[in-house]
Amino acid sequence: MKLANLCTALAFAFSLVFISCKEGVKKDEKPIDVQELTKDQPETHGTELKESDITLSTPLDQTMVSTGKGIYELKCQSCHKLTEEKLVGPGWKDVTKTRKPLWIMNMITNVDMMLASDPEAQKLLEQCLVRMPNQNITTEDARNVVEFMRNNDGEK
Amino acid sequence: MKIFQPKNLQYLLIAVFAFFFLESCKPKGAQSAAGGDASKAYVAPGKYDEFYNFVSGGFSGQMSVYGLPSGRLLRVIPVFSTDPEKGWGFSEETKPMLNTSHGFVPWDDAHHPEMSQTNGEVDGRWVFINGNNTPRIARIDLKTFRTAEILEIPNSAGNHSSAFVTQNTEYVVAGTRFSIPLDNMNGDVPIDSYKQNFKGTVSFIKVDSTDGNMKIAFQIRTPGVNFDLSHAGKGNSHGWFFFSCYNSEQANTLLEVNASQRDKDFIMAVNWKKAEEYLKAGKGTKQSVRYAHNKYSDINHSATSTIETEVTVLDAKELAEMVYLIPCPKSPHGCDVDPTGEYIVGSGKLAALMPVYSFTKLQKAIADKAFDGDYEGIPVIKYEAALHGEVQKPGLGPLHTEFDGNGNAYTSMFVSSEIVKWNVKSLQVLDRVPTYYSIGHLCVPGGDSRKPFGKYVIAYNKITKDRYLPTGPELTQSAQLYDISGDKMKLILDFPTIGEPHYAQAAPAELINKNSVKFFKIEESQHPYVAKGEGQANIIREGNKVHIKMTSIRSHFNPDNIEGIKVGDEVYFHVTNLEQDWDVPHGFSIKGANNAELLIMPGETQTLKWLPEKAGMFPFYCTDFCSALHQEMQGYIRVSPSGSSVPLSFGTGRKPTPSAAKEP
Amino acid sequence: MKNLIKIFSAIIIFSFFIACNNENKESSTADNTNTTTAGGQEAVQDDESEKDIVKIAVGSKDHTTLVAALQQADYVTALSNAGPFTVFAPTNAAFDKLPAGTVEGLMKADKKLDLQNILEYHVSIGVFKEDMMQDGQMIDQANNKKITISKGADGKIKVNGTANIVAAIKASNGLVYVIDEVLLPPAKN
Repeated sequence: MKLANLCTALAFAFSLVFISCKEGVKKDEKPIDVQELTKDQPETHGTELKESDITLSTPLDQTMVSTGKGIYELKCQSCHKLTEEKLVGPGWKDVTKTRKPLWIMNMITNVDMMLASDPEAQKLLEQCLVRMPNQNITTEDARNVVEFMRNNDGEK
Repeated sequence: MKIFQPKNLQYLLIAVFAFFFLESCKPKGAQSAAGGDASKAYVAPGKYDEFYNFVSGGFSGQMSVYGLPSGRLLRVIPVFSTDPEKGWGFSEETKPMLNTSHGFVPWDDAHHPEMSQTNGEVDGRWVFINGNNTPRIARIDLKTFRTAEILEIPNSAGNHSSAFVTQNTEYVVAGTRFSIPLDNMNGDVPIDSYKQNFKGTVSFIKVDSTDGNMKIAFQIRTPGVNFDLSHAGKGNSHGWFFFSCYNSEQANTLLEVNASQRDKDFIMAVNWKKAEEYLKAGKGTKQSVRYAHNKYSDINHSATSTIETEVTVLDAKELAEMVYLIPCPKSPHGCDVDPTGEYIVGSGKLAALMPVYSFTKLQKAIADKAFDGDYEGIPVIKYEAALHGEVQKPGLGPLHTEFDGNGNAYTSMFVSSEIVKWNVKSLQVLDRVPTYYSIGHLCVPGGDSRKPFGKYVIAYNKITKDRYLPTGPELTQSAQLYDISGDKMKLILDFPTIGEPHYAQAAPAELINKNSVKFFKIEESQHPYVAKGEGQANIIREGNKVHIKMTSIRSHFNPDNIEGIKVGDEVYFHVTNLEQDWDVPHGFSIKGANNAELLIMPGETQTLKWLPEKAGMFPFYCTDFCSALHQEMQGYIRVSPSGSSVPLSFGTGRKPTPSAAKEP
Repeated sequence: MKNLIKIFSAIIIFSFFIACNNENKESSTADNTNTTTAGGQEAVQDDESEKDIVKIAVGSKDHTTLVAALQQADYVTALSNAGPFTVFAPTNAAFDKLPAGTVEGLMKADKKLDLQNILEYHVSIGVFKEDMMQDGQMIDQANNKKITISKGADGKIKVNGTANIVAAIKASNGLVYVIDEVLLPPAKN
């Protein structure tokens, strides 16, 4: 019983310390999270696309094909050939036949998410050893690139 | 099982308490580990600082950016001095930024950064900073944290009382530290003809409110004195500018003694709204001068340098009611205006008191013509007529004053090595705290604006002696952070600084970080040699000039094999970084280059000029660790003797040609 | 079972206590190093560099009164700083010429401002070499009062008409003139 009393006293003492400690941790009164501000900037990167975001149509939209070609030459050609040959990344020949458009577009616009979660993407990283860079391509332009890929794969 | 007996519950309770005790201690634990006051400077790993601190680099010519309260160095922005690390002044694009009427000047002495203001409050858009030696003002864009513009100041030598702004950044000012024969006068005169031939000027430079571009609106010609520091009026005193001046003795030698003869020098009060009227009325004289105006474009990724040839000068002696002199004891240095704009503090380096002037009294003195004669035709206001009061025995060697927005002023004392806190209205000294050692400037976040953010005062010291591990005869310079949230100032952190820190400014991070650019959009580039994609990688020979349009992306260059370059060629590597992701720069360096590396931000094109002097094989590589295959990011350039018939050829990932196999 | 809980709880409490305690220890050491206020530049350990004004005074057996006065007035730090200063340093004998009890009176805590005022009157900010001094020259002192220099035909310099410059010693942060009289600041200047 004596021990119990001692413990009660200790508990009291601790609760005091607890209170005094708590005071030092006072919530910062500043409502602005500076770190969030940096992240908040508009950046065409990072929103996961869903199946419903994408519609394919035939015949190919030739305007989209040529816009897609422009994006390819500016941002993709350094690493991807239009043949089957692997350069830094895999060649694009027949990519639309082996991958779903959703997978391709997420790989373009959400490469960090894909490399973190998608087993196929991870397999490619093991083969190529270079993380595909985020090239800040908008969803719309990623769709144009898919149209260009379909054209490259012989679709009409 | 009887564990739910009340007695046992006690033990559990204690254990739970203990657990919470630990929890409550733990998050703070990391902070309190640094202890009492010092914990206030602690910013946890991965967390942002609360303030940006822009610190002049002094004789480094640059401006450094620190986080506060941690004192962590975030970036050194090259301004007036070349920086081989960043290719500043070495790349073809940045060379024009350092052009002056004296040609390319690779160094200067940068003293006083001042952030742009809107309605007297720091707006986080630009920082202006003076080049002291070859008089210039630079504007740094806080979207890119780069120097966007440099304007040379004619009729000036030693641009010290600069680069302070008016409350809506209508103007940024410059003022000559050395009076000289003006640029259109014959300077080949005896030095001791100072009194006849030497004149001073202060310059008002218009700042475009949308893009920040600078243009000299007018200069005011003054008697020959030394201008030291300045600050704009604000609130009630908006429309006026105050400059401290010394050497009213007009000595031209041994100023240490000869410029300290008179009891009082002056604070020069300039009614710039009046000056604008005179300018509009055509009272200015157009003077033929030469000065460089350099601008950097983030679209062209290149700078241009233009030599301007004219400036309009207003004569302070001839144009009445524009300029007045207020006596100020003993070689005034700091000239600081409190947040209300009512009080103007003069700090005589050698004075044993600090005068505080009242703007209202100054206006009355002018209206009453309470003059004490004139100085070379400029009316001198009666000292007492403009005086609010004197801070008695503030300390020895008062230099500069900043304000906290609660009616308090903080003055740096060089000789007695301390910061002295005093009340602006009552002039009573409230607190003093030592600095280690010999403080020069000091800074309160927003401390010279209408809305200081307070919280800290930072001392920028001239001497460190034993404060840090010794590093030979040349020791680091330092800053010291004091908490001013309570009645007493408390030292919480020492941190080393680059160059020699003079003035500094600080502002809440949220004003700035949200606008920080992450990369340049490659689609928007209008660089004349941009390669928008590897398909545009190319080599163009124009006589002996060879332009190589090269791309870089993780992790190869295109082209990375180049042949057909000859001794005597002038080779330009125009390297475009094709990345479009945050924090992925590429570097470029080539063996034996007599300049520097290039450091190319995503979406940017930068150019290195290279003069191959002998035949041979010259490797180049990426200097910025960009990926796991960074070490593979390299290439070769083959240099043949002049007159060689090796054809121009280039590429990346090409198979060996049959002819190549045949070559010895 | 009951005892087991007791022991277990005790161990938990004890270990937490230790953990927190350790942090407290760390905090106190860090605190000490961070907020040290152990004097200014006079405390810098450096026997190799040229001596500053304070070190010269401290090293002189003829200036013990002056050194004691500087300490009492808290001016040791200031005179160890970069300066530059010209210090007119009265010898012990000079202080002895003052009416009996003057020095003792000034050394009292409540007379600190008077003592500071007198000492400041012996310090000019700037370096005034003898060959630059002219007859009749006025020099401003740190207390905002002036001294007057007189230069005789023989080139001998006197301060305020009576104090003789006995010796001139160059210091790292200025000049020390040893003088044979204490300079008393005028009430008005």
